Amino acid sequence: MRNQTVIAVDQVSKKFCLDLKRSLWYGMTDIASDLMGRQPTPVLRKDEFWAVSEVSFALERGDCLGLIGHNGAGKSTLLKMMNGLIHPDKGEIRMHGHIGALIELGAGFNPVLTGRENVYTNGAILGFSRREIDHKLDEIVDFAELERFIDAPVQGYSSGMRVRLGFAVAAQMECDILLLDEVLAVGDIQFQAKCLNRIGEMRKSGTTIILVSHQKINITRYCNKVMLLEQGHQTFFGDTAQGMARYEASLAQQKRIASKHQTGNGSLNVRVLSMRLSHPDGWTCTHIQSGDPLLLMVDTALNAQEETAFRIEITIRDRYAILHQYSEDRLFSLHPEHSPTLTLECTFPQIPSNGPELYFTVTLWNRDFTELFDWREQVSVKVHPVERSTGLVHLPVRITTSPPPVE
Amino acid sequence: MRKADKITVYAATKGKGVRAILGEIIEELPQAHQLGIRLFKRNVKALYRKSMLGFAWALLPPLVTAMLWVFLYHNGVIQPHVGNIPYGIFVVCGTLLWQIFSEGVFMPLRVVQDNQSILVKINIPREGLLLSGIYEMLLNMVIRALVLTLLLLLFGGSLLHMGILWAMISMIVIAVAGFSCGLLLTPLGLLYQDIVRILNIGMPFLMYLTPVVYAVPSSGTLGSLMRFNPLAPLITTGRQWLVGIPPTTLGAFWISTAFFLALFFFGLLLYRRSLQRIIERMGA
Repeated sequence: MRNQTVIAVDQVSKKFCLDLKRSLWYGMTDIASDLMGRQPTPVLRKDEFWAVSEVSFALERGDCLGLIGHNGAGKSTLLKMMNGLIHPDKGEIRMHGHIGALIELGAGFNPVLTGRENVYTNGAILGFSRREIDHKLDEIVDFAELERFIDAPVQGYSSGMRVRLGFAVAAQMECDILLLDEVLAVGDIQFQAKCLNRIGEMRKSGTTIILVSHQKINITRYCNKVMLLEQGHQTFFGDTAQGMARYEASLAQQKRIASKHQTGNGSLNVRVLSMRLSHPDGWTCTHIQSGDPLLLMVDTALNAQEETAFRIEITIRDRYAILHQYSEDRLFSLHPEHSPTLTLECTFPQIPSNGPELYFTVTLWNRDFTELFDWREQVSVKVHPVERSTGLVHLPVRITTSPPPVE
Repeated sequence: MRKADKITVYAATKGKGVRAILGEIIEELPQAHQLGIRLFKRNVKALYRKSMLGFAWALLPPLVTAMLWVFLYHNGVIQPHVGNIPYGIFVVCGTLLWQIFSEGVFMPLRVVQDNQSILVKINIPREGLLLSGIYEMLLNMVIRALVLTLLLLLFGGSLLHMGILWAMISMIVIAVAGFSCGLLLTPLGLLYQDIVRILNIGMPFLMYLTPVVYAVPSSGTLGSLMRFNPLAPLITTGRQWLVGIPPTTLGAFWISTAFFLALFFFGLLLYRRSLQRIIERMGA
């Protein structure tokens, strides 16, 4: 088909209320003014703010739009408006064709009923008729890989099985516009691949997709356009690579603001002035190779008026888990006159982590752990993994044979 | 289900007129029925599978109430004036009819609350929820009617009178009456929990202001209160039809019926108009 505008969003805004009691009251007054045929005023009342403000964009057939932004930026609200769950307070959304939404999987499942019965309920909620489900049941069961369990009650299913069944029903939707909210991140890899392929099929057949995801990879892989929302405002709409760069920049800026405000946590009788990572030879580093040595420098200063002894605890974690947490037995002493500051040089002869990034946290305690002086998060270093080694850590290994190889 | 040229518009405009809303409701009715019947089947099956008494629950509450009153009556604690109907039959008919009303009052709020998680995430034909409740009430009504018939036969009554047909109609009217009251309270009840609490306290109270376990007194405060209670002629007339004696308040019965039908119509419009606003306030 020729290029045509399938979705046109024009100056759409939606307000939200922060206070629950007041929100309920506003709900009442809105209903009352609806009933009297009056248009509710599009001005903010007490405790209200624009969750989505003046958003406009247009999508053509086959477009895939990624909605990105921080938590609470208004992504889900926008998606809910497009799904017709809530109506805009200002502006207009115009959509051509059948709209499908993959926002909640397995809606309406009743745990005591069998998988088969729940397929019918869930299907009806998604708008399928009984006959359509009859027709597609085999395909659904097949897709969900639940042949053996389809007549068992759903309460015995694992959460993965439930999600699979839910997606299998939803995957039968045929629509011109598909709204997707973070549901890609379910199930095991094999099933995820299946879901991604199903969505890929829909894209190929010309479905216009709007996707909300926090996973960068999904956005860059699928979307040809992105929209960046910041505090309800649309700050970017257009090319994916450019949009992602804007998003990353805004993420980094937010982090910087957060760290600038950080003055320390704890009683602060002893403070961490700064932390930095360097090579043992002294040059500061942001990247290391797995297995390299590393030096953590911690500058401390005394705040209290009397001599104080402290101990240091160092925590190293990667994206998944804590790799190292250790509090040194040795006590370090600060004196208001002779030695008000002290730099601790903590040398790690070898960092076995396989990357991709390590975060260092330092905690300063008193002698018997009854007072936390300061707790400072965090400096990070990127780690290049050892080639062909895929575990969390890489341990040096020496392999010999027995009998020894013949020379 | 695929319509290529379908255009959906969501905009901030003022609400539609009565005719437009009714048109939408009628247009969505087939889909709403599809959803309603499916949810109804789900609820009935689930109830049946997780309960030993199953469908008996449609009967037990009114029968227990009736037994209590019969017990009090036979021990001379109360001496209500019920005319020439045996007191046992009078009370059983009354409580069963009342149960239909009371179930109707709670039904709309219950079905919407039960399906709240779906409502805030998926765009469903919202009248489907009401229909699932209506189907459930119909089923319960059939069960009650069957048992009532059995009881009337046991007590030596005759079923060979035209009243039985009329009695069925009165049951439906009573169900509509309860459902309409519930429907009107639904928007408020979804926003504020107070409504359900008030209902829990108020319903027994209302029962004693209605001639359920005794007849309308001819004088006194209660008598004049009941004269303004639109439920009174429904229960009284329904019972008279059931036991096969000529109805005494037929005119009032039809006026009440018209009143509750109007209420039903208004409740439906209110539900349709207000639910959108309520979903906004429900959160995910």
